[in-house]
Amino acid sequence: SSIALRSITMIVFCVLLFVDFAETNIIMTEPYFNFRSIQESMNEILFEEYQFHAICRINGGTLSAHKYLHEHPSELCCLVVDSGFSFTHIVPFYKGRAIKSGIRRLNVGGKLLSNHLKEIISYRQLHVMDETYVINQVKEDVCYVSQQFYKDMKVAQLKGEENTILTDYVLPDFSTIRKGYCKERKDMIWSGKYPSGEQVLRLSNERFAVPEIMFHPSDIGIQEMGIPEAIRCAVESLTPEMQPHMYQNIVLTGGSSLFPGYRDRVFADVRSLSPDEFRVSVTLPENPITHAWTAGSMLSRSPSFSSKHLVTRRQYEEQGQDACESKFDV
Amino acid sequence: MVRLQEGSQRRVLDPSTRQRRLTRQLEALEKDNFQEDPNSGLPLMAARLPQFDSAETQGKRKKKTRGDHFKLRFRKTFQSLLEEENLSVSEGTTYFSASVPPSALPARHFCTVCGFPSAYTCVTCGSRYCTVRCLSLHQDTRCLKWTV
Repeated sequence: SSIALRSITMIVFCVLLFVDFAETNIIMTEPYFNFRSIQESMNEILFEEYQFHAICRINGGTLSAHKYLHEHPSELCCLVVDSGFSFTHIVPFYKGRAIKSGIRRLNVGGKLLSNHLKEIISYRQLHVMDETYVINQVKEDVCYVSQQFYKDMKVAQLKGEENTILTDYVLPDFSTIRKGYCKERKDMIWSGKYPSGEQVLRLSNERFAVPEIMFHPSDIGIQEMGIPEAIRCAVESLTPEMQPHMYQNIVLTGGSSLFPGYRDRVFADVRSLSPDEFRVSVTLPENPITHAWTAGSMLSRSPSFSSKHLVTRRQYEEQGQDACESKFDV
Repeated sequence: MVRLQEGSQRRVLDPSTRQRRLTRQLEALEKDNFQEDPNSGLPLMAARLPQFDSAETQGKRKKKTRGDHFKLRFRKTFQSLLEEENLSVSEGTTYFSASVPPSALPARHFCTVCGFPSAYTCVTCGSRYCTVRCLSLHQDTRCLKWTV
């Protein structure tokens, strides 16, 4: 992993950025509970090989929390649900600092959903186990989160035109069709093959059964709670005074929150799981993927940034790894 | 299709084998797929991008010895890093304690052939199916065909 890290940083810095490292400060995001060896090697690479002026290693969710609290100055707490590629983290924040004992991690992310979709398509229709990019695109184009799971299941079982969920997805062949797309409803042929001979995937219940794994990982056998249950689990581990504030400030970030209907479903499930007297409010920012990045750029301009979050190269040279350990938590 | 003659020859997997198969399937879901983007036709960038396996030989800073040193020290995989973390610090919250507990709700079962809700289990291998048609498809194509 360190080798991949060095290659990635080399690509980014050598090819894309033409910066003078000695005068630049860098904010680098890392996952929660990152391994000590990786943290230390990251510090080493940034300071000794690239010789940055100062670094800040921070979690993506912490940046999102700072932005949310900046936009809502009256709130003290927030709960960030970051559903990314490898896993989903639910992190409660109080005054901008993460409450470590309340962090919960689900091992369900975009990678798992894409792999599962590849498996079921490979079994039911066409062997696509090697086409990660194509199926990733299928997932992003066609999958959505259903608000009424069993009702959608019934609709998906209907035949012919009554089945409003069924879609045909035209696969790219990289010569005439550059990128895959969904066929229009008026062009769809309900029984039999398409005369034009393009490769088509017929998707009905996979459209909403795959994102459903985020809400019920037990559907495929993973012994973990879904996102709404994990939100309740995380909030209940905090003190009773903080709980209502957490329910009122739930923020959804990360690439896997882009499924249509995700926000409404999380709200509905959390509302039914949380106590009646609490108010529940779930926000989805306009761009969940860049939310943490814009938060970082906003944070870097704030006045207290350099004292609270940065470790300069001088401090690193004097104190070694301990300088970073004390300043960056989690 | 009635399969009367298979009554005596049918092999039934015991629960531990079934659990092992399930764990194998779940681990397969976690694999990273390092593949080329089929649409990445960037001839300009390709010349300047270092390849992942020869990253140690190229690079702006010509610290070849440094590269070898790194490669030797950090040949750990994710699994070994996990084990190391497991053995080390154990107070407060760690990577392992932050994991989410099992669900309080019962699991729902879906047919492995068509994906709709299922009510029945294959006697031999334990996979779910919804109708007899899906069962016959399953037995023709998949039942115990991939041995674990």
